[in-house]
Amino acid sequence: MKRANIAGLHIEYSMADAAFFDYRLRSYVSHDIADRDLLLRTTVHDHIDSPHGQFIKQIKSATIVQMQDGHIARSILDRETGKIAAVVRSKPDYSEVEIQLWKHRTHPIFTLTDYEYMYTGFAFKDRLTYLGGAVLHGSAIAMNNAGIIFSANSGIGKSTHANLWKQYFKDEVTIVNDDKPAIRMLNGLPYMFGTPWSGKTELNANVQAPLKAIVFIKRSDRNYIERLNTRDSIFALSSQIERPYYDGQLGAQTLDVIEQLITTVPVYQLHCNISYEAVQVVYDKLLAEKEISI
Amino acid sequence: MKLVSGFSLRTIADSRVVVPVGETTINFKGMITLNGSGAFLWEQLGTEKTEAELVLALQDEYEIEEQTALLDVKQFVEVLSRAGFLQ
Repeated sequence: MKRANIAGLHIEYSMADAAFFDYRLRSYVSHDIADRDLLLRTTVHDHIDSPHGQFIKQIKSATIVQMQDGHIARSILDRETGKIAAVVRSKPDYSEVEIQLWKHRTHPIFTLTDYEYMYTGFAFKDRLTYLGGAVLHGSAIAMNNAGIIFSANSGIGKSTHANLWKQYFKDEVTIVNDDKPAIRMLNGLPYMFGTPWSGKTELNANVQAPLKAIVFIKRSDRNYIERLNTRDSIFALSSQIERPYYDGQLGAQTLDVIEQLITTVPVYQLHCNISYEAVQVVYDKLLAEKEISI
Repeated sequence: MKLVSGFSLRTIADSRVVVPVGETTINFKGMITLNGSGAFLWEQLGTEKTEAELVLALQDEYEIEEQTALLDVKQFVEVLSRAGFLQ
């Protein structure tokens, strides 16, 4: 088993595509033998048997059962072949997760390693959420130890905007995670963390920074920024912090994080086009509000 | 009548919000905000209630006239029912 420290979680893992994950997790390697937070294992099989246990529910192509040892198993069916494409088996507190992948699953875009990447990302997110954190869909940057997350639905331009900050401010800016930064509260204050799960790109860094602003992006001809009121902030955050379909209680826990964020982090709406002016608008605002410093 | 499962009512800062959790997140992508009496009725509907019981509960809680309570309850129940929140 190998060890990593991701967002302060001590993880022991064994991945099917070891080479891919050795490379992907290279910045997160840990030699710490602190108490383990998560045991994560992925294996690949020619055939996956249905997990035996007490049936809990069927949600679309996922069957959820509780096994004799108390673990919850979620099997996902491949619609084309009717075979079990994956089984994710976890302790109820997500401290141990085992992912079984069917070797012959085919998809026009995703490879088996892509599936492994996705399911291990979910496992990390679930354990992080159980422990009081959350993953926010957004592009996160750090500048002079200030963390800013740009969030929006896919395709709106949060990644583009974050990359403009990098181009504009160069070495002053680090792209911490281009898709799913982790958030944790430490002594009542919010921090954002890089993780190896950064969506389609490898843009991530093992960096943590105090979370100073969350900026929701909307496309517009004109560049301007405004503070969001509480209700709109809650709506925006609840849309971009995913709640798992397979665990209502875990989803409800994300609301605890949203409540903490609302009271500790300013939330903005940025109306913008793709330009350095958009970057300047945000920068000037955050500087004026003393959320960042030069 | 009572609420379907899969929604979580929370008070966050000064807002009372209802968000979908669990499998409900697949089909319901929004969020509901409720005022004080709306949140009160929502909580009442966590267990099986008739309209008459809701009216009485609302009157007790807010010390309002029966006619007002009746109208409020009818309106609220109609909105919830149309949106598919009641079983």
